[in-house]
Amino acid sequence: MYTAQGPASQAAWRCPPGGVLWRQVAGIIAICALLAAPVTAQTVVVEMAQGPFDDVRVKRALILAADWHRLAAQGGLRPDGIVYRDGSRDTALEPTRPDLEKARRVLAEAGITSRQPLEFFLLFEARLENTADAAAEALHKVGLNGELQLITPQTRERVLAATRHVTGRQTIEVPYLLLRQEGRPAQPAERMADLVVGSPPDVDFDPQSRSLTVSVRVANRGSAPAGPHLLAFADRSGALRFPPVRIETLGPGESGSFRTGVRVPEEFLGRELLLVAMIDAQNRVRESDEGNNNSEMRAYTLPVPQRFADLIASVLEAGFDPGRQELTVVLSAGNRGEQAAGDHLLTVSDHSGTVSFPPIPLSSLAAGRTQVFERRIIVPEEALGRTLVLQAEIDADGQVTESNEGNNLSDILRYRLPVLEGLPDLAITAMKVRRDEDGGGARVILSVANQGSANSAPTELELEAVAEGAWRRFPVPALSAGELWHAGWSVPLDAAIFGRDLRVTAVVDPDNRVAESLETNNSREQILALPTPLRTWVIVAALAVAVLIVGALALRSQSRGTGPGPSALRIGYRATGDPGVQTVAHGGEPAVTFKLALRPTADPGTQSVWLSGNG
Amino acid sequence: MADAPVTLAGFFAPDVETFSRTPLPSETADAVKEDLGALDQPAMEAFAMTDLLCSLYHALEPPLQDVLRSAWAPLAELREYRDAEKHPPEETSNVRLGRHRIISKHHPKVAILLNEQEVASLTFDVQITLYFTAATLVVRAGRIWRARRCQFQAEAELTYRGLSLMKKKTEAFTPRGAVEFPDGILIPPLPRPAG
Repeated sequence: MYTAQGPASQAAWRCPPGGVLWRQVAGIIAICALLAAPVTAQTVVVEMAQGPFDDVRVKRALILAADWHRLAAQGGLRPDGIVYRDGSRDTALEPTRPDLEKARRVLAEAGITSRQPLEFFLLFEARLENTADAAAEALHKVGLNGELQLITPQTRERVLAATRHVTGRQTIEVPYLLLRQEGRPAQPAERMADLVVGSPPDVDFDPQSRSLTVSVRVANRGSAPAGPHLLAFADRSGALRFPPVRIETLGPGESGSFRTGVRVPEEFLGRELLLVAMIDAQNRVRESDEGNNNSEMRAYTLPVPQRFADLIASVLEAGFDPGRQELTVVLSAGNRGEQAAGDHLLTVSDHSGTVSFPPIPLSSLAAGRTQVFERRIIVPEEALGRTLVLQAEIDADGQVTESNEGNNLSDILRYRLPVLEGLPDLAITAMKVRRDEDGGGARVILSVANQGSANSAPTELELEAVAEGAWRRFPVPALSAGELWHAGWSVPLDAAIFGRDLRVTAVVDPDNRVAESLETNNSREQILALPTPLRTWVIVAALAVAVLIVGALALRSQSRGTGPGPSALRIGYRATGDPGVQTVAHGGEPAVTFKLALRPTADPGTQSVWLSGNG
Repeated sequence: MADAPVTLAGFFAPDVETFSRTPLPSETADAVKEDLGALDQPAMEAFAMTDLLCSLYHALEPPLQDVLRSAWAPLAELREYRDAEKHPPEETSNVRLGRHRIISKHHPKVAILLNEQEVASLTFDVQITLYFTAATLVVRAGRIWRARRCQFQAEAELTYRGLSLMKKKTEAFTPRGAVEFPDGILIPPLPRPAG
């Protein structure tokens, strides 16, 4: 034990031999603990002597070896804070977790080990005895051996003076730690909030929508409610920005879970995010502890997207051919994903229920490809005038796994089937073919009727006797609605035809000049069987009578309802004043308008500081 | 003590409505209109001084925190806290700044746009002087993390081409709690001499 009796007491220090004396003239660490007491705030102060514990490694080891907040608590004190005091400078000590191994390593660098410990005095005032005990025990574990020494306010100055010895040209200072306290008037206890973010943010990511949601639990551990403030989430990797969450109020003891989200751009998938939650981000709330507002960081790696197909469909256009009463719908199916799509179905539906289409089975559709399809159906007459609501759906049976399953339906295309009112309808209503009385020819008699509700324009009637190769065109006059027109044609017969059938074909309006409400009743055919008369043959053969009227006229194949479809879509329809068409009337002076706007630009500015002395 | 303003604009008015309705000296208003000569008559008629002040209010949105950050970081008194030998990273230091004064100068700008084309621009001058009676900076690992026990008064002046728009002298402020710098303000090293 050291006593202030002069140089002889140095022996009690057991100064190690050699040149390590400088360590023992290391200085004193001042530890200042604020002790909260019901009436008075107590401050423990240790004066800093010059030289002692000058080695920063030793100072550091004192922090690593013990949590001084806990030591004070073990001594029955309730510290408001622990502060180093070095001259006029206070350095706060935060609560720490002791790391004895690290403390030993640091001291070893300074030459202090359990074999060569640093001996010092641990001076304390009466009230701090328990704290000093705990401190001595903690420091002893790392090679800092403090010898406890009680002092009183009366003896303190004398003891400290005795720590310095001048011997010859050098001054030896004995290292010591002094735990003391000072009293000051206590501040009345203030009720304050204490907002805490307990854990790192939870993360939820939906790869389909690429929606990232972060959430965290926030609590108010203080004794006062916390007013409006912001909960902010930050990504320290710099990739994403999150909108803050506004929290109106959080009462004392209350907690809540809060979340926000953002859609992740595709180029960020696969990146690592470093997520942190910060409560009271704008520091609006007065808190008893401002140091616990940030959560721990959570590292989260956005999943790398798998490659999928992405099928889309469109109804490009629709058209109606009144002549054939045929509706044609043009569809497209595309794959804008990164993977080929396997077998699937393309369907087109009419939501009005007027018409229906069979599904289109599709085989593999490569990534980036688009195919166009036409589908035709005959529209029943009762459907005319109705509006179709057409929509296509690709992968209707869900066979293909896609990156986006939400875009398989096309936009809706509305198409109004025209009402075919006020049109003529030329039809061959009666047709007979018989042999002439003398048997040398055939007689064709037929009627053409305008069965429509409007007059027809003049047109033609074409008759052809196929076996004979004879044909003829007759002009057909304009027919009013309901009017009948009759025609007759005598076809001379070649003797060679006997024994075969004579097929006669009649077509009214063969060039389709007249728009009709029904185009499928313009032709008719009759067959006349011609047995071979021997007697006739003999007569003919004898007289060698054969007069053939040869005409060359190929029946134009109307291909009504037959033959291959056009390679290109031909749509013909008659506009009937669709109410969906708007006409814009132009005229008058245009009004010219300028937009006047003001754009502010902030300036961070320049700052200069003028000091008049530190405090 | 009142709460400190959060942005520069708060030194002049509590909100944008009050700011934009502040009557301007006629000389200053005339100077502004003169500089808007690029606008023709119909545009000038559409232009309102209150709109200009409203836009200027938004140009004064640099937060006070940034001013403090730029002012304190380069202080010579803090340079030693960059030294990890003297001040290990786990050590927290309370550095008291005594009385000091921070002068912050800004030049906010309001651009006038017609159909999104800039036709004129008005540049204003702002000087904010903060008289600190006390401030304690919490320093750790070479960075300033918060400022505690700050007390200051302020003078704020807004001018246009040397002509006064607004001049305010404020009462003493103290920020609620501590002024936090969540990412820490790095204390910069001494600038190296040129050459």
